[in-house]
Amino acid sequence: MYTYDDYDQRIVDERVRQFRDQTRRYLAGELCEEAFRPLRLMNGLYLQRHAPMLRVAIPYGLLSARQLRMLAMVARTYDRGYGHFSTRQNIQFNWPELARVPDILADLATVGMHAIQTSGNCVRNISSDALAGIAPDEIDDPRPWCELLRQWSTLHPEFSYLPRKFKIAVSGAEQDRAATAFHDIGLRLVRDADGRLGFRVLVGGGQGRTPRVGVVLREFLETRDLLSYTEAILRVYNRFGRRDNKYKARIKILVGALGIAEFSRLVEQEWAAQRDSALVLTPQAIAAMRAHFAPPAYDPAAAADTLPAAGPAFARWVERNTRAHRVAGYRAVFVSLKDGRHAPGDASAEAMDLVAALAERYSFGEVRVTHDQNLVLADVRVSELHGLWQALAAAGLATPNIGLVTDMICCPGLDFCSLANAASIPVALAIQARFDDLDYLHDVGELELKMSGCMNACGHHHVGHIGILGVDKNGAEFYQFTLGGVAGDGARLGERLGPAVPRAEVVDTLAHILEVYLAERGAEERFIDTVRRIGVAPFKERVYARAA
Amino acid sequence: MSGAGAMRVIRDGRVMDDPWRTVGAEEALPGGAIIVPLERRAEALDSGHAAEALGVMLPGSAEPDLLEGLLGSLPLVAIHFESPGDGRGYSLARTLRERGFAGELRACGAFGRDHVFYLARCGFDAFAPDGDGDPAALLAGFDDFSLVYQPAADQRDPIGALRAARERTPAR
Repeated sequence: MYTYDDYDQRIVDERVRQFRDQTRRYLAGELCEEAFRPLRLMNGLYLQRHAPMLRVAIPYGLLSARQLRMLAMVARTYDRGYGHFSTRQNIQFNWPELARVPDILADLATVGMHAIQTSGNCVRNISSDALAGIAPDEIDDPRPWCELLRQWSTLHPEFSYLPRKFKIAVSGAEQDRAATAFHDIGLRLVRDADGRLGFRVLVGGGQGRTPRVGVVLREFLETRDLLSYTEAILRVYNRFGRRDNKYKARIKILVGALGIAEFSRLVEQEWAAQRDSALVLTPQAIAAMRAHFAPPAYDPAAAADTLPAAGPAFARWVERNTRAHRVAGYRAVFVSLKDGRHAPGDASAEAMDLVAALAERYSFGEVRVTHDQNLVLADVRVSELHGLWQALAAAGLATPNIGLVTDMICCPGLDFCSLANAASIPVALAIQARFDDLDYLHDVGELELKMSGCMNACGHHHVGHIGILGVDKNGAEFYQFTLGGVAGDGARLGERLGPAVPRAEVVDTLAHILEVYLAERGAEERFIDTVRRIGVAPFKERVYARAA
Repeated sequence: MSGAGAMRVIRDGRVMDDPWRTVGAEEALPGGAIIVPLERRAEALDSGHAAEALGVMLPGSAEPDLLEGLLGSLPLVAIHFESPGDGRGYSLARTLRERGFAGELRACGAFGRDHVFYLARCGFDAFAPDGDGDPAALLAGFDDFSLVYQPAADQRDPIGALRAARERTPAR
């Protein structure tokens, strides 16, 4: 993985110094809250319901074991012993003390970590495919491109005061596991008819209160032009994006207002002037970056490995929680952070330490954070799966539910977030408690359940096969269901099922939806396929029949 | 956007008396070096004001094409920031520099010491923020970072170029 050199490290250290001074000026009354707010946000610090929340960047979800141990140390020393992995592959600490945040950042800096641009109206952490570099369906490794974008966007002088936040995702595989159609810019690595590598550029996707599927801005962008073209998009957005209403300030609104043809014309015009600027990526620069992501020393002997027969529980875990690897004899292992006892995505300091140790023992010392709020050990030898499983299972990290109903995405909701209208964590736990029968879960099969506690959609409800949105109705918590959303290939927004249901009925409503699916599904048909085939009506009928 | 006389400004990294006087939309045009709203430039020229002593003020939202044909002759362009969070002036400044403007590019309005590092990188070389505070308080902000990742209007070598140079001349 990319390791910070002395240049990167100096920037991180100087950022700590800068933020320490900003915090000092704020606490000394030299900076008012209004002036401090954008400064702290640009460093991932929110003031939430109970305490500040610090979001730490995990660039494209990639961590070394050493970095994960540092996160555990931060959780233990400055927080309440846990952290929350977010849908943008970052980690959030819910209980730090404002005055100690500079110390947290100084500790993080010792392992090349920081909170730079994890919030604020700037280019945020670049997100990507958790299986980058190892997926059998990969066209090109997205991580070097993510890192090039990370460096270009870090402390960008022109784009630190954009109309609104700006999120970029990069996917390098046939299958889009990075939800590129729901980002401000989505980049898909592709090859053209001549076999040249480039990007298909999507723009204007997003969720929130105005969900939009991104549209193609350019079918093929040469890799050399990645940064100059991105800069042109950002400049057009910075100049013309709305600033009068924060709910209409994202690039999707600008693209919608201008139309993709006019937006594209403006970008091309801007790009024409800058295309051959110093932003051009030379073959040397690309090769140097690729070298940072060279494959680890896989053992060729692994190809002869066989999976030990070790009982049905192990077999089920292998089937559910591991994925194919492009190198024979290796698998990618998902560490489930959805045990039904903790908020989805939460990990204790002990769990983080354990996963760090397991990464060192079994997976070349690297860990990935998935956008579904789990962790991945990407390079595990098949012959070692059993040992790893035993260690994870002993710590409650081997719930065999990856991709199933209880592997749900969930935002912090009313328990922590000052924007939320309704609880999400307790509802998620209630759902997980109800659907804890593994045979039933596995029978239902692949299903993406996503829940947000307000229309800002941090829990990605719009793109859940089943989405649940918490709303406030005269002081009571209600939940709006949507069906048929898709985050990856064939991206689409879910369709509303009907009126929102009270909190007490959420679990039953979900049970009724699953009941219809089990009754209606064809052979080998996944939930999403059934919804697509029969539409929302049969589900609606079942869910609301009770009331009549 | 209007100002009284004897103001201080940061130029070339130093605080100095401002040789320019900023004139508002309604004020009578004084003699000497003045900065007028772009709409008043023709009026000032008509009243006999010398072009080399006539700068213009634009809001950050202005279309850079408004200055087409003038970039070679304007001694000073001032860009006014309505609020610290309105980043349009950064793009406008870079665009003017990319189009060859070589005169003084002045940031005016609502910004502070936490913005000047970015402003300078976008091509601003003079800074006259709103408020009664001493502009000297801004000076520390120019050194917030000693390295940069991306090329911009300040012509500083980005880290990528430093790395490439180091590759060519390995450490002794």
